[in-house]
Amino acid sequence: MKLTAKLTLGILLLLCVTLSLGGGWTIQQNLHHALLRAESEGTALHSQQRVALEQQLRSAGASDVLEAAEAAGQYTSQMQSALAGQTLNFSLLTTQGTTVYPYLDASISYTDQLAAIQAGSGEVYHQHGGDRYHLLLAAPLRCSVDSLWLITAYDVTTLYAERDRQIAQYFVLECTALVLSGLAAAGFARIVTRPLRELESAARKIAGGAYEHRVSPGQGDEIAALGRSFNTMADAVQQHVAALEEQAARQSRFVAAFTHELKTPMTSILGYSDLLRLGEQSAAQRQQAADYIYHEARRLETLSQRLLLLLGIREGGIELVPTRMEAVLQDVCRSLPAGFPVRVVSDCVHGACAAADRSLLADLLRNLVLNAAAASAAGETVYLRCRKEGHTLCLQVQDHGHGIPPEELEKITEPFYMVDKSRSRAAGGSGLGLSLCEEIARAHGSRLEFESKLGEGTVVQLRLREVKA
Amino acid sequence: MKLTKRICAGVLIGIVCLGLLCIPRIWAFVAEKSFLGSTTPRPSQNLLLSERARRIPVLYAVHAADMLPLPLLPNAAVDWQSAEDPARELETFLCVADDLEHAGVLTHSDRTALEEVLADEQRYLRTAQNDLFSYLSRGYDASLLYPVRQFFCCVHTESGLALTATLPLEAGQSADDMLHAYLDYLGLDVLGDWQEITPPVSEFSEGEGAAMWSAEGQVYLYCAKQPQETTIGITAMSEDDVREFF
Repeated sequence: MKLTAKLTLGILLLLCVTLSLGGGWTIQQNLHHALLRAESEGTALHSQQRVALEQQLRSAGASDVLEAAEAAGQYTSQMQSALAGQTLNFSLLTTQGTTVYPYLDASISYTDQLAAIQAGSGEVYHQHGGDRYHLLLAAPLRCSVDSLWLITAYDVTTLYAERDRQIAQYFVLECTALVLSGLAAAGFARIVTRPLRELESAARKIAGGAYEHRVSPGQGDEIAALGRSFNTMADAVQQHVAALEEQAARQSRFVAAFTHELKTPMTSILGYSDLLRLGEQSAAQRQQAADYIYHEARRLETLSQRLLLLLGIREGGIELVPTRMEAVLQDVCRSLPAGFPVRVVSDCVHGACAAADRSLLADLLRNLVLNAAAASAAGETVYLRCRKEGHTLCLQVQDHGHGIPPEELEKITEPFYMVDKSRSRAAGGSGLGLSLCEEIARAHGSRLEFESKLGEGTVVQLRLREVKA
Repeated sequence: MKLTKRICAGVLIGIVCLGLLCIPRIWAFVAEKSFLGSTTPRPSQNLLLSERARRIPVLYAVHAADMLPLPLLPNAAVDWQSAEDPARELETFLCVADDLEHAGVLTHSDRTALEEVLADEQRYLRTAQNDLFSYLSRGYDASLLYPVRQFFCCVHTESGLALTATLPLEAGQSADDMLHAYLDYLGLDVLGDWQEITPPVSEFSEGEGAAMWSAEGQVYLYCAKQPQETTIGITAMSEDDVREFF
């Protein structure tokens, strides 16, 4: 069942119960109060009739039940003319149950009269017979006839008829109210659930691939908050999907580049080995072929080592220990070969220490220095710095070389990506250097930041959190 | 949801709603079944006497007078007749006056003065009678040169007790003493809940007054003493009336 239908039915049932119980209670209360008024009036009338009958019996000098009946008859005749249309409704009974003078409505049985006498002069007996309702009031008469009781009946049929009329009227009222309320509740439920339907539609569209679809959340209530949360979730899903797509694309590029990087040396190796198999080359040619095969195989070995290192860092992580940056920078400078084509100026703030893997961090900086040297003209200066910014250490490699084009900056850390492929390969580059640096930086909880201007140079920096030595 | 299921659900919901809508009728039916044939206490009412109080003749007569209604005071409802035998009527009344004297309501001098006044003017006496009471009064005569002094007496026929009396004299004892003696005279001292009430000042502006009310008897007993006129009497009065007037 749909939520709209559930809401509508819930409201209707609640209204139905409330109206019915409220109506039932109100109608019963109305009858109760009307009966109380009738009891008061009936009691007053009964008292008057009692005194009047007593007076009549006394005046008539009634001393036995027959005379009493005669006196009651006279009283009835007098009263009927005096009452002008109102019904006189009473009977006289002895305590033993002998009816002395019956002048009661036919619907009031003898048993009812006895029950009224049994109830006594302080009670009202509620009688129902046929389609009539009466209040019966009994009291002993003060006269010379022993044990004579007066039973007065007060007709309250109209009160019960009024109650039945109220019930019927209320039923019609309830039905009308329910129909109108049902329509209103259905409309209300549709309005309330409209944002939910929008959400459901949006969710279906997003599931179908329309990740950019959003809902208009409205303002204020919980459903608006749900709409906002839904949009936030859709943003997150869209970003995640975009990231996954980007990762998949990167992996595709990686596989393509890796294949290409394998194919180039393998082609050389196959070509030269095939040449050697022919067996009629000169010694110099054989030597050249063997050299090519050797160098290309070495390139493949270096490639595989770097790939292994890259995967190892990605999957296994590294152990970080407090490491003095001065020592790392010294390691970098020492590792540079003699006759390095550029001048490396190292500058480190005294006592700087960070959580790091000393050899990997040195390897990262060395790679950056080598790249900086490759981008610079011979004799230029490359700066290797470690500065302090608050509680952060900023490791920086700066050159004044030819710079990197802005459109290349985002891709240069991808495996096998080379800005100038021919020049890089000629320099023995595998295209994995910056990828490896990026992974090492990530393993240190940081990332490489590049700033470069064509013709002016490049600054690469890495931020590490300072720790105590 | 299939159409059949929807129809079934609709019918079911309709039945439930109809059942709920019938709650007032079911409620009325159940209440009626348990209520009819039962008894409820009679509502307490003004001037409704208890069975014990009803057995006291004077009280019964006072309340019967209120209900029938029969007057206790000389109003237009009394069918006055000139006394056919004024001497006998006076004698009958003087018997009542004797009883009042014996009860201490009137002093002997009051009794004597009353006899003298009424004997002088017995030709003006008028009488009336109904099922409960007999009345004696002095009528107005335009030929008299002086203002006619008030005289009225209502006697309960069954007991012979004076229920109201306006006497043409200033009684010899205090209104308070007269009232207590009158209470004993009527035999209403058996009701133990008499409470004294201060009558309105204007009613007794030239004399003194005393009054009492009994909740059980639902009656007001009063005595007013003014120059040349003394009134004693009893009347039915409910608690609501007592609250309203006093």
